[in-house]
Amino acid sequence: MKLSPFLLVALALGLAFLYVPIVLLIVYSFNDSRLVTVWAGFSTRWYGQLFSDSAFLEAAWMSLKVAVTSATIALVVGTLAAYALVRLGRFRGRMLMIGMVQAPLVMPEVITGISLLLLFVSLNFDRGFGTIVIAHATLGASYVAVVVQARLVTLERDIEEAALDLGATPAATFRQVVLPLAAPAMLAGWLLAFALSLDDLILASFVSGPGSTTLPMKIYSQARLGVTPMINALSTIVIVAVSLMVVIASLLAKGSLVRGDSRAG
Amino acid sequence: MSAPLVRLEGIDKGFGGQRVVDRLDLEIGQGEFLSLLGPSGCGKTTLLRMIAGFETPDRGRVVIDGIDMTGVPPYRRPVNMMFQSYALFPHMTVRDNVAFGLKQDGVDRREIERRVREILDLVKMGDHADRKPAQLSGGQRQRVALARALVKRPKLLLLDEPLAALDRRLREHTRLELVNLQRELGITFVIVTHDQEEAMSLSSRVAVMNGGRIEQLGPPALIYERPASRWVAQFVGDVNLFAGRITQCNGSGLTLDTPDAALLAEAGAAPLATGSDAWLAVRPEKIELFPGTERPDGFANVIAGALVDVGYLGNLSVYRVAVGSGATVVATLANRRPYPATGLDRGAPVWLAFTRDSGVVLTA
Repeated sequence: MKLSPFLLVALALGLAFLYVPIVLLIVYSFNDSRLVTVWAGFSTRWYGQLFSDSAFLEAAWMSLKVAVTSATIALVVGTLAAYALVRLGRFRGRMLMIGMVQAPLVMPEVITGISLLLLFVSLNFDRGFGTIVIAHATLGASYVAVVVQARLVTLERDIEEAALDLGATPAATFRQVVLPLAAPAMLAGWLLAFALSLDDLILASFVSGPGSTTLPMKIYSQARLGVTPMINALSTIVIVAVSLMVVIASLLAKGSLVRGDSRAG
Repeated sequence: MSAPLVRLEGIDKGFGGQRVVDRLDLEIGQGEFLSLLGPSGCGKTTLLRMIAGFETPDRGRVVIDGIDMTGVPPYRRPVNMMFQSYALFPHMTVRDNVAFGLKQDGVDRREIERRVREILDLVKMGDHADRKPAQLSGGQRQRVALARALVKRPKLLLLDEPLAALDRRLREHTRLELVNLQRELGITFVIVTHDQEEAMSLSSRVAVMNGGRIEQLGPPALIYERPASRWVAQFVGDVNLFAGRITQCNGSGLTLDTPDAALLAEAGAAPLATGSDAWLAVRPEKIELFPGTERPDGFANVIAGALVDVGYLGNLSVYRVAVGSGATVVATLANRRPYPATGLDRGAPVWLAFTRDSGVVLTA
């Protein structure tokens, strides 16, 4: 097929619009100069400095803990919601329920943040690690539900009925048949929720308390004092980690990794 | 028939206000091979699913082996089902698929291994035990599904259109195997099918279903030769229906006055009132065809007509004949001599002839 030059230019412009800032950031993270905008030769010293800065490392560790915990909670809640929505059959208000499960995806995070903050304050929750986890799990559960639901609808009802027919209780059927078949989608959902939690600033800012600073919050507060090349280095690491995870998640969701496995085995 | 294995009593079932099964009674005997035959939407699959336990009747009882199972979930019934889609577990090997049911019952590991091997050998899939379903052909998947449903030695095996996904040649071969397997194991089989040929060749009894009811129940030959209604006659095979009025009915026979001829038939067990409307159903292969203008002798019923067209099917030819009343009668003849036969050109005058016992008088 002959590639249209017009479309190629359009694509190049679009990609440039999306990625020039990120590429600049990555390039300048290897800049030797203390001034962010002046190139003074290649160096990895900002990476070195980053790894010796205990405040950054602490924030990174906090983010990691929050991401793992909230993604795991999101996985359980989201999977159960997806299973219920797929298997309840047609009932009054089913579309409404599906919409409500997916709504947090498009809800402005500021609003989600404020509402959660109000809830935690009125319940007299101590704000910190726990509240950030809950906030992130809320959003993550929606992602998991959407991804897992997409997988479950392709699972023929017959397969579950066959398990029941062969003497498996509904619980055994879920464990031995539904879970293994939904596992790739569940893992993809978990990775998405993890990535989401890792780079969230808004929700975390609303519901965090003293002593619970996540990495994005740390970066943001540092950047307001002036962008140092160290932040470029940190951002580069986050970008690589998050994009890696999204790529794995989308491969899992499409099932190509799993199918590749079974062919080899 | 000894004590029935399955007894369905007054079963009603509807979905969203639409009645799918309508006050249905049915008894299935031990060791029987029963077909539920009917067009799509006649309720046959719903009936099967109620025996399996996937649907609960709105009214009525499902009794299996003397125990009321109406509200018992599928995993506590002594019944296994083979699904139309086969419904094999895609993430398990053939061996694990077949072993699944035994594992649920907590059967000893060595016993599982032995029985899985035995049943896989029986369906000739012993060499494929380590494959995944995706690596099997359609016919092989069908065998695995059958093995998986049989390995628990159920009292009753339900088969939902088990041959529908196979190509024609394989289907005929598999039909024979199913019959042999059923005889060998002595398990009661209930099969759902819309294919009348399949129902005929497989089963000891056929239940012809229409609109949620059983129109007729009996051995295949009875269904075909003595259909109970016009609907059954037309659904099971092809049939010519001559409408008329009964002018005579006594011990020596029945006369039906039709626009083309006064047709003679055997009188049924129950005498029919003279003057009432009825139909004579005659299968196309029971009608003889004679070319020429000379009326054939030795037949109780002879009708004159003109040949409209001939469908050549190789072993058979289907002759369509226009008769005086304007109706078209179909006669099927085996091509025992090289085709085309002499004197059977389009438009040629022909005689249709059939004996007194070839037709069935129907009032419904």
